[in-house]
Amino acid sequence: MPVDWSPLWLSLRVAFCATVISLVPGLWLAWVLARRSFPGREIIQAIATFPYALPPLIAGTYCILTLAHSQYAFTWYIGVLAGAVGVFPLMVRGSRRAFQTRNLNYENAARSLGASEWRVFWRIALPCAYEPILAAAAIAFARVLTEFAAVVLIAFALTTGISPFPVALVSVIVIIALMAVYVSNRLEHEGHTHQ
Amino acid sequence: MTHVRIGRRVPPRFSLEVDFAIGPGATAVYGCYGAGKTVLLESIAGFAHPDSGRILLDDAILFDAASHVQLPPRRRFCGYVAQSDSLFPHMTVRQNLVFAARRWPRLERHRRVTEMLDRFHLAACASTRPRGLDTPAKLRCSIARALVAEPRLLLLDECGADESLLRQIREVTPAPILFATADLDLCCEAADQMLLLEAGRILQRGAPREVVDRPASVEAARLLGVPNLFQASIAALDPVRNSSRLEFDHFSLIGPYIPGHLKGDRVWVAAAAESLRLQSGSPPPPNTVALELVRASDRAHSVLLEFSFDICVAVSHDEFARRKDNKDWQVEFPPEALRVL
Repeated sequence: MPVDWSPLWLSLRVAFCATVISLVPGLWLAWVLARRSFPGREIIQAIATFPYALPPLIAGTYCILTLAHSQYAFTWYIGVLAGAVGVFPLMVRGSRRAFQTRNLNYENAARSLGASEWRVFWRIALPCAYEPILAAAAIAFARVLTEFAAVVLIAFALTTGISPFPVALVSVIVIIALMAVYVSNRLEHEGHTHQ
Repeated sequence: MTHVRIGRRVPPRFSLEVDFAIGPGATAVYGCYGAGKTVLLESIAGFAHPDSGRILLDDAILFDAASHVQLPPRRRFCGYVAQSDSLFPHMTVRQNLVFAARRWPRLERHRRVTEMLDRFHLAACASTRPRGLDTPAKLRCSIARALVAEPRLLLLDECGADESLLRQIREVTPAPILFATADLDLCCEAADQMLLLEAGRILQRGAPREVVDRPASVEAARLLGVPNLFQASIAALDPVRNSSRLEFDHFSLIGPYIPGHLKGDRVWVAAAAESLRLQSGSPPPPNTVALELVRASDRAHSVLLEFSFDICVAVSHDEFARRKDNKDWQVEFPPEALRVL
């Protein structure tokens, strides 16, 4: 029986696009979180990290609920968007750690030589940290490529028209999860400070 | 005028409070580990934010806490060479220098970079990445890169530059140099001015030889490693003969007259190891104390003799060779060698 390879190409396309899309804002946010200190930093960090703690089933349910109230059909573009949102925390966490562990001397030297923050980012910080960033991107790509639970869930909801979980239940779970992520980030930050 | 007056608290316990002017030439910031040298230099460069004070460079305000002026590092024109390697690892030596010379047009940039590569003997390794350089070449490259940007103040943070390299820097740039170091010899050889920094405070400043020979306080003397530092009480004061008699725990000495003190006062007395003399024969000259030799240790240009009561005398290798079989050791304390703190 001939094998239908089209789902593989679709998955590769979705995974590639989702990774690239999450990479750009992910890098920017990682840089800001790693180098800047500003009010509300922990909250932004919690929101950015939150999808990391979200099980694919819950993410899929949210996708169904969003689609049910919108005019858009579930096309591969939506899949890319969902994938990008799903792996965004991976990119942020991986890149932030990469920026944080790099030698600050390089960036300070560049600043003292008259380089703007933009130039410091593109010419110094990014080339110095590109290996862990690419590693994070590879993991993100693999994660989107192998994501299956949410796809099955969405397919089930689209074919039967039944949402698998009540909205209220999902919302409560999400709020509790968000608080847990915030606490986790705070504890991690405190741990680094004490070290 | 270039002037630094800043205060900065670094949790949990350290605080920096300094106020000094930077003159032309080289100024050394001498202090041991944790004295605040790096915090000071980073504050001037703009990498760290002081809590109070003002920094002026050629009368331009770089930082002023009162008016909330805080220029970013890129607009301060302070060259900064860090303690550890800061060459961009993904660029060659030439690219590192080109990065710093970006504000000039292409031809001018090329000329400046080539000139700097030649001056610092880096032309042969211009296409090498930093990991292929040895430590002295890395240092020369870091300094050349800082200088190619034509800084108005050069900050060197214990980067390992020696006297000849500092002299070479001064030939290239007229900008004042502020270098942090824990090497007292380097301060004496290469600096025009010297600051003694301890626990974030300046203990003394002045010409290096003056500071080293005449420490102003016990703390300064300890920081400078003056080996003979003792407490004594003033037994007699004679302003006519310009002398005093000082009672130490185990002996008494004639010292210089001490203005502003009364008989019975307790004072600290310092004497450089090089200023004390070994004597022999009988009767011993005045101000001589018979001591027991505890240990002799070789130094670069002298031998340090450690006697009983923690008294140290530095003598030349020749003199030590002549006297090493002595059974009775006598140390003379010339009154002019005793410095009352």
